[in-house]
Amino acid sequence: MSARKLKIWFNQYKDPDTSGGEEKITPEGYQKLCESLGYSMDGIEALVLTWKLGSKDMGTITYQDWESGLKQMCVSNAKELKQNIDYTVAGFSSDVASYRPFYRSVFNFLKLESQRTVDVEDVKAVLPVVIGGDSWVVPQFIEFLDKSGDKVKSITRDQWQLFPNLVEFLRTADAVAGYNTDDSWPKLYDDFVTWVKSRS
Amino acid sequence: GGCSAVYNFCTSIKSSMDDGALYSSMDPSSVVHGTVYGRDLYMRLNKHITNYMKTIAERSAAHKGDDLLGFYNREWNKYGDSAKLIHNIFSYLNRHWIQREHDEGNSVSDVNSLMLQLWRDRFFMSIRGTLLEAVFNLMKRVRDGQVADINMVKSVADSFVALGSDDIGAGSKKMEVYDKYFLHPFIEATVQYYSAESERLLQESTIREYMNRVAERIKEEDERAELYLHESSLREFRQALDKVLISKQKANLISEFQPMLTALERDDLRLLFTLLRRLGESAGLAPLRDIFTTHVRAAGLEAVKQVSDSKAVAEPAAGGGQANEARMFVSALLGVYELYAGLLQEAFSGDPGFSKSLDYACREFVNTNAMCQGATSKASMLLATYCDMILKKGSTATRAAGAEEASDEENLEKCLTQAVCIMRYLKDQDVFQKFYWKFMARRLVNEQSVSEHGEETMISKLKEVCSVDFTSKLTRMFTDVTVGREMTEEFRESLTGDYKLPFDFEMKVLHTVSWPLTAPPDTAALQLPAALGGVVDQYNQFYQKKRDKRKLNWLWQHSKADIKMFFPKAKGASAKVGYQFQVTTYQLAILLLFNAADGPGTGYGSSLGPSLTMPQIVDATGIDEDVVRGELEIFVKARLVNSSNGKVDAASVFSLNPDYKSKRLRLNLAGLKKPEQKREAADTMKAVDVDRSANIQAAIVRIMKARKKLGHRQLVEDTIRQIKLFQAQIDDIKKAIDQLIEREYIERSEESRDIYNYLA
Repeated sequence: MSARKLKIWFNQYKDPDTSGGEEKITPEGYQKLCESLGYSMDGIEALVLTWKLGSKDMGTITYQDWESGLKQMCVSNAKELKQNIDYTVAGFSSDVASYRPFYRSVFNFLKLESQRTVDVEDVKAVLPVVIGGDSWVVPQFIEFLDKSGDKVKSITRDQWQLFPNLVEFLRTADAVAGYNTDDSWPKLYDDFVTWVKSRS
Repeated sequence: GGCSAVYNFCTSIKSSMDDGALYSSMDPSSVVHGTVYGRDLYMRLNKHITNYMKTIAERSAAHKGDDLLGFYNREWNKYGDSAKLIHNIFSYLNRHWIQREHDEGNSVSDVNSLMLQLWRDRFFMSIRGTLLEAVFNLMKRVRDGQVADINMVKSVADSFVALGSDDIGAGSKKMEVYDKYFLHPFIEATVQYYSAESERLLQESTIREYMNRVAERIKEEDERAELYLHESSLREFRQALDKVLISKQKANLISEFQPMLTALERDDLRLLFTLLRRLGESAGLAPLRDIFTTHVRAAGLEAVKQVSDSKAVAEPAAGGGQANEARMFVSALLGVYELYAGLLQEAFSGDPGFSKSLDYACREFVNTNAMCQGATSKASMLLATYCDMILKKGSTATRAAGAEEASDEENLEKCLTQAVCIMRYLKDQDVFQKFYWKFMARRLVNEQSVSEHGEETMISKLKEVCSVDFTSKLTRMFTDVTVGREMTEEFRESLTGDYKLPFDFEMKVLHTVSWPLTAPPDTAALQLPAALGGVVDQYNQFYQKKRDKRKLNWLWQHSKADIKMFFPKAKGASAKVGYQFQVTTYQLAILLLFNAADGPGTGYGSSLGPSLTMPQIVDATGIDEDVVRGELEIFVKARLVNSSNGKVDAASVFSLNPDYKSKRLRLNLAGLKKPEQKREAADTMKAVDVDRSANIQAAIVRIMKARKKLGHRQLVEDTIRQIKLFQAQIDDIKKAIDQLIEREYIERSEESRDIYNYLA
């Protein structure tokens, strides 16, 4: 697709206020873009799209991101873009290798640049979106975080990154009983599983 | 005797030569003759000796038993001497003819060997059965307690040795003949004898009696064996003996060990130990050690349980609080330790394996027992309290175990040695160190040490067990106090000119890092009474001159004053000399308010002094309200100060009690504020936790830096092993790992969550 057409497409959603310097799509415009593709802002696709476009902040896309991102995806129109995103999302459940970089990048979106950790509230909101399947672990973990109150205020990168592993590990029925707190899981997970055990 | 027989023999050889020609080496033409003569001579020698042996054999038939032994020995000795002589006489034969035969590949024995072979083949082999029988017969009689000549056995054994291997040649020293034909039958006979004896003993006597008898027998046999057996046989012989007398009854013997331990029967224990030691480390001693370990551990646990059950500990207020609890605890531990350490020497010869068992058992019961449960490190705290107690003035003298007559100094030293002994067994050394440090600081600040020498002695003992980091702090504290005295002198001398010290003033300057003390929080910013303020200023100036860059923080909460109070209504001695009180600085500040001519209260100038409310006092002194309340409560309770409503609250109005009376003219008001032991202990443990976290993280970083890449389990194990100061818990190690990942010292490997990489 020609650069001109890309720009026209971009301009449909860009932030009209260009006083900040370079042109970019900001969250409001981004929402419209997602809607045009049939994506809700609560869905995983919205996250995947912003990630694939290489944006630093969620929902904020510079023209540079836009151009290089679309080129890399080899798409030139909305239909192709949607296909690409849908295909990627579908691939997550079968291909862990493709899922992992996406999942890890979500942490960067959630955290402030100056900080090392992410607020627990943000994690609670986003986990059900990015963790697919219907594992019992996600809702239970969120409840655990709720109940922990002030004891758990933030989530570290390590804790975030290992979460899919935990979900996978606890998939089998006797995994909870077999969970050993001496293992290499982060302490937070030890507390979580102990809490789960105490409830049953 | 032997020589004439040989002479005759040689002459007879010579004369029986066909042409009587002499055997001469000088004559080259006699080479051929030499060969003929050589072989001929050799054959004749052979024949002659063979006949001789035949005669001996025939004559031997006439002897039996001990007599036969005697006969054999005599003939053997004679023969041996002759063999040597002949060997030398025929040395030419050896060097030439025999050598030549060897070169041509014919194996021909040298003369000496030939003679031994002949003895063996023509006489010995036929008689050896009877010979052995005679030996065994004699041995049996000796073992049964009869008198017999053991030396004959020795001679027989020697001859067996000399007869070497079945192929005697080239002077080989093989023991085949000896082993096969003497030693093994001998051992077999011994085993049979003692097998029968032990059966009989077991039927007739108790296992203890058996043990004693067996020990005697073994001693006899050991001593005898050295007299007649070849030294290479001793080990095999002893092992066979041990097997029949001890091994067979091992289970029975071992089952006696526990009752002996319980009854502390030292002699029997020593005997049993000595016997079973012969069976070796794993077969003999290991089972005993296991029993010993279990026993000592149980004894230790029981001793502590008794203390824990006793009333004095159950009701601490009645028994004198924590100090008493500590004393009884340590006393119980020492009782058990010293008993079994003594037993280790007396009964087990200080055996290193048993020493390890003792250490193992002690380490168990010292740390986890009826008084110290879970992961609370209480044992460390109690031991530190004990040490504080014996190093402090005024506590009732603690007699060291077994030191009834010692001087105070020696007694103190012994107590300290014992304390350090127990300390080695603590699993949480860091807790002990923190509490000891705190208690010592308190002793030094309050001048409560029973002796300087005592403090120094303890530090040097601790140096043997603890790290330099720790003991250097203690030494520093100690020198700070000594230097402080000197500085006070210097300060006084420096005050030339107009300024006069209004009162005696003593200073201790403490190095921040070495003392577990902190400056009071800002909220308790004391308004110094004027007189005190003046001195403080002077000292600050003095110190600035001495140490330019350093800043002094005044620790008012640890400072004290001695004051005298004169009450208008006092009578007698108290009127003349007044009451002397030791007070804290805060107390001083408060009391001085009642001495002032002016202030926030009411009634200044009256004969009874002013009245003040608590808020006024708080305001005027700048002291924390809680602290003020506490001090006022002390004053009211001591009836030094009256409260208008009998309580200490915002509404109370305070004034000095004009009718104050006390039998004692000196009172320590400062000491009345008891440190809250529980809260202090909790604070100290918090500090320990902080240090531990840092310690664990440091250990992990060290390990990861060296290994670069390590599995989780391995890292945990290595960390626990590396940290000697306390028992690192897995929980805490995991927390440390989490933190180090966050701080990006290490990372989880992409390959597996169980592997960590070091991040440079």
